[in-house]
Amino acid sequence: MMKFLPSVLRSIRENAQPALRTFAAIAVLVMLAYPLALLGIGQLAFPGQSNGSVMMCNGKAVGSTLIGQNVTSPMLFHPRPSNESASGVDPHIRPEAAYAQIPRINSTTDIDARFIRLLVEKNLDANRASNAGVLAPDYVNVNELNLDLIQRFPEKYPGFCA
Amino acid sequence: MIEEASQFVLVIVWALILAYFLGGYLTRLITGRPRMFETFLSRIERPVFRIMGIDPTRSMTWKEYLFALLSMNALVGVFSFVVLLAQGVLPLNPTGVPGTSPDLAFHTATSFATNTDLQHYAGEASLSLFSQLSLMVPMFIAPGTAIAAGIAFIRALPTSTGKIGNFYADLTRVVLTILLPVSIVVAILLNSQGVPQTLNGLLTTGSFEGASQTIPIGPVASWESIKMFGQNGGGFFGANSAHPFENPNGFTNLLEVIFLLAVPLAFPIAYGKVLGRGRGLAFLAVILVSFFLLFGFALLGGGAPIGQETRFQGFGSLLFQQSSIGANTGATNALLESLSHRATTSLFVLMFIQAVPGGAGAGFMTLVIYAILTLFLVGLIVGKTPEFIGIKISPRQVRLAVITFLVHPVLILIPTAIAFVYGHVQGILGTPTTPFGYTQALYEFTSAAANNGSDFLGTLANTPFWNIATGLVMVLGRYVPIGLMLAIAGEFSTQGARGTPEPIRTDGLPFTVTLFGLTFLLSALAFLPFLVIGPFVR
Repeated sequence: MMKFLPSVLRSIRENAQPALRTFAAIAVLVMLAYPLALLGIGQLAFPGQSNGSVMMCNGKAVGSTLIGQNVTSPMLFHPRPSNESASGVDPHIRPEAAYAQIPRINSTTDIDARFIRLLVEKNLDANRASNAGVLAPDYVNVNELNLDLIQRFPEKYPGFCA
Repeated sequence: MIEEASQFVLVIVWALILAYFLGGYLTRLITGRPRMFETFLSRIERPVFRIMGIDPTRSMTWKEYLFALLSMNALVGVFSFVVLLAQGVLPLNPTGVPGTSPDLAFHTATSFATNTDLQHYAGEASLSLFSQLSLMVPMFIAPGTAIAAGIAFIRALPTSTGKIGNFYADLTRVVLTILLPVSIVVAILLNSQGVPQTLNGLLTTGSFEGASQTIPIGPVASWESIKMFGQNGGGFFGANSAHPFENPNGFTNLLEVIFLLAVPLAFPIAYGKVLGRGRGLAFLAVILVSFFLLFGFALLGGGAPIGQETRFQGFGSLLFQQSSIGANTGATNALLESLSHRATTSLFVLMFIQAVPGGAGAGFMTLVIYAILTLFLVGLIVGKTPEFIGIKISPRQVRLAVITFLVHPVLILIPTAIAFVYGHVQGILGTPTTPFGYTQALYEFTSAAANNGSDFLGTLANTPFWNIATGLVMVLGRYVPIGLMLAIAGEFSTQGARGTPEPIRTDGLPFTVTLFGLTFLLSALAFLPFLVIGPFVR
């Protein structure tokens, strides 16, 4: 131990300078320069995505496309119960789960069931395209679907997006 | 079927393509031969080295290298610890969170410094933006450390000078020319798909039905790319890669998997380029075959849709989990509870072995340990002196390799037993203890010892016992093996391997099959009884 200690102290003395300086240089680079550069790129090139993919509905911000909302109205599509997924906030459901809700929306809004089905399929196709067909299973984004419904049929959805 | 097959093939092929190029680059760092754009790169590096006061040509012995590595990592740990304690009074704290408890700060600081990223908190609830940005420092330096150690390890094999390179120069070059540029590209790709990059901490909006929502947000893209590419695995959000802001669609899901596999797979390639292609291929084959078999075994178990994200479902979740835990990243895109007992077993085996492929650098060195043990055992059986890359393996090296191997079960099993005896498992999971409760506790220490970071317990384990116990296990599980492996490398570094064929060759099919078999056998001997009473029952 007595023999060991001086050499350890010498090593600490030798390493203090280069370790501190290397640490400081890397720290400035990765905790300031790196995220700020990406902030600049993101805010210029992808402002929508960078700020949370906010949905605009009748001029109002009504949440993020990517974050599920607790929808209670029978006139809108409902997401999965939040404790059934891993994140608890995903707005995605399987196509079958969307089709199953069409009769309810049809009966409460009087929108043609075949048309609602078309909207579901349109959303399904858009998701398939953004996943190049094979990178993910089929799913529907409930937020996008509801936004589509409310914007297409403002007279059926008074008081929504208020 | 076509969907699943395409996802699997895309991941493996792209990961191998990236690994091929990264392996070529690592080879240049190992040998010091001119890199692509050498003039440009050294023009950037020179002023950086001058600021740091480092002479990159001053090569270190293995002890000096290890000491420099430990000094740097200690600084990183202390830095994160202080920031977490003081975040209440530091800037960029939009939600006004207070400093964390000292034990959680210790746990989180050690967790990120050791490349584990086990989290006993949810980032959106407990950390300020300043803390999240500060964790970028360990998220670059921790993988940089392991990659540097891996580089020095391979560099030590052919040399006879006793010097294995300059740690500060290796770390700086790895961060500056590998981790940073690739992370920037991956972050931009993720950003384009919906991963946010903003300095606002909360997004306040209305809703369809007129309610108001506050959604946590932040500089997620810059976090996410190094989280995967550096095998960190800690989530910006508590939900990790299941959160739509961390992993919005099938494209980002595969992108994250491909990039987390890239550097770990690059190491056997670099090794092959330095010491003979056949040797590299043997290691790569062991990694890929083990990985495929364990994935197949996990697939047989199926899975439950509860706890999985609809946009990934069974296959996308399992592929992510298997790759992330195999590469000791530990990121998850589904709840581990949703996995079948076979899939859970497969994840355990990956963390027991730690080398198929394991984290960048660390996984490769662990595989060399298995190779040394294999050569020693086979040497005993056939009566030949064990040699590795044409150098006789000394009794001391065998002893060090055995200790390296044994550190892992000791760090997992003893703390798990202590946690049960003193009621700390029962304290958070209740009584009576079920096989599933036991599985969760065993998993926690396995993940900590392997520097993996995936877990069942999450914020439940935010108690002084769990924070300090797993914190210590992470520190020992990281630096003891790295120290022992550098000691083994140090001995090789004085002998100058010529890379000539050994009495028991370390390339070709016989060695590949034996190494594969013994890797599984040794892990099974150490751990099988503990799996039988846990995940097997579930």
